[in-house]
Amino acid sequence: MVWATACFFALAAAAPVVVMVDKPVTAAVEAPARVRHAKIVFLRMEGVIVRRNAPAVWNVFWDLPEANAATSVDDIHFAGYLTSLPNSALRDPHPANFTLELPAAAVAKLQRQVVMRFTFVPVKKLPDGGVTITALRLD
Amino acid sequence: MAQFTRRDFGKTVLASAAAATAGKLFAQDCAPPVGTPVDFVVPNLPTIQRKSIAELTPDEVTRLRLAYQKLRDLANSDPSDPRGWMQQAMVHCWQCGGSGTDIHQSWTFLPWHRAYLYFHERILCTLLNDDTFRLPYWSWDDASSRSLPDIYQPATLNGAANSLYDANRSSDAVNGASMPAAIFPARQNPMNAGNFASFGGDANGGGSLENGPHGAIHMWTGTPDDPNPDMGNLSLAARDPIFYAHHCNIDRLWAEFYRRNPVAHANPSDPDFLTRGFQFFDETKQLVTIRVQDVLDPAPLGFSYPPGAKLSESKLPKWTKLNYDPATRLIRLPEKIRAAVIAPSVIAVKRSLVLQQVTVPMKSGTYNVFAGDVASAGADASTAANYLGYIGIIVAQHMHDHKCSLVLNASNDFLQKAANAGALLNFAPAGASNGGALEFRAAYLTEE
Repeated sequence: MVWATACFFALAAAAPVVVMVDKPVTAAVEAPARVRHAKIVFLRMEGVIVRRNAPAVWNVFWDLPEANAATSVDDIHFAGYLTSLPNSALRDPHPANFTLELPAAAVAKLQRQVVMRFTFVPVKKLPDGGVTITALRLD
Repeated sequence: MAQFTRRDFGKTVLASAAAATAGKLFAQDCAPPVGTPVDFVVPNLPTIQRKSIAELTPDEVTRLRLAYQKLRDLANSDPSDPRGWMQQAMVHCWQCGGSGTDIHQSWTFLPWHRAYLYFHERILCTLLNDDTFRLPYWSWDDASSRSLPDIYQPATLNGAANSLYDANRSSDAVNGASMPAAIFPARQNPMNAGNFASFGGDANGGGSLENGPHGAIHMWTGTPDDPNPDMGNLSLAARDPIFYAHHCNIDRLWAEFYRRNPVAHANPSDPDFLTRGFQFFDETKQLVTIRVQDVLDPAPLGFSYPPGAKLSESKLPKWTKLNYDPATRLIRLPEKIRAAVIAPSVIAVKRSLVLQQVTVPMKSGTYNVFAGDVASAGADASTAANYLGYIGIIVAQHMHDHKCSLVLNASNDFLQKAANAGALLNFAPAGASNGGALEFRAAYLTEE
């Protein structure tokens, strides 16, 4: 049997602030003790700014730093996708907050590890300047 | 009571008309509500079920078209009437940033839009002089309704304008394409959210319904990068009649989410949420302040929805983590899988072997896959009884030190050989030219 394979990879950057331009970005987030025992855990993306108020769509994967645009959303590490609609009523980029409930498999893993890595993958071409996430936290 | 007199109403109307002509809107062009609001009084209306567009009778389609025609006619005959078509669109523009505040990206998203649809529906009832009219919903949660509904499509009908038509839609929507499956991933079903905050947001951020299918369907229906994106831009979205059917479905999913578990899915009880007020013009042109607590139960507002929703019903692949020993680089199949492949079910199961966090080798090369011990392979690996196949990896210079994932088709024959060999899989470099052993950190078997 022969498998046609392609090796996908992601650029990793462990930083509290995420700047997505055209490549996936990985950031590590520490889980507070109370979160590690919670049944429902949220990844909070705060102060999200989409440059030039343009559309943006991105996928989020947990503990899969090699995730990229070709990674299946059926992968067990897929946490969800997010959309930011343009809004020409706003003159300036308007910081917004996004929330993603972590899937059960990620919540279970958090009971055994303090830090979880999240990889943010642009699905469509991002606007000039990309998407900036000012802060990430688990809640 | 607040007085909304920030600008002269006539100027507002002129600005709105100019913006409509230009096809673009900016903050100064959104019309603020002008007037002295009164508190909302719960109406005495019969509760009538809103219906899916797909289930409307021909007479109901005719009535819907007539309602929007009357709305458009009103905008033409009296552009200053706050109930008219463009003024209705301005309501959304004003509340999504034109006023300096935005009801999106927080827990106000769902209740504000429910109130908006309620007043919009009341206005349409009045124009029709028919209290039994209810807005239809675009049931895109059902895979059979994931294209633009036909009745919103033609520009003209029997030589007359179709009031449900909008010229500023994407080519996919216009050409009858189906929405991409990626809008509805099985692993991100808002209906499976654990609580309201996850589903509908909280004081600090939007929820999964808003940030997932809501936004994605806006962008699918109107192209955000077009000069006239309508649905693809929040401030312009309500200029397309499909906007109201889209949000009616959002509203229905909220009602359904609550119906499924009123305890776990309870609406927030925070007074800041419940007492948050919004202003709308009602069917008599009176500015009204309605609060979140007024809209939590749809029945007193005169509408309900049939139970049920079909969002993301597709079956998820089952992921089984495999026992992998990094020292020996052997993967062991669990007994359950071993038993399943030795006595295969009559139901076809598609299985894949997924290797994750694979260290990209130093060189391009080939890795042979064996069932069991590599040593049993002869000089020509492919002739060995336990040879299963090979993986070819092409490495580019910039890929060194990166991680990757490999997804391999695991046929029943492949897995049976592994099972017969003690349920082991072994990856071995095919030659000395390879960039070292294949190193990875996790292995899964997926079944679908």
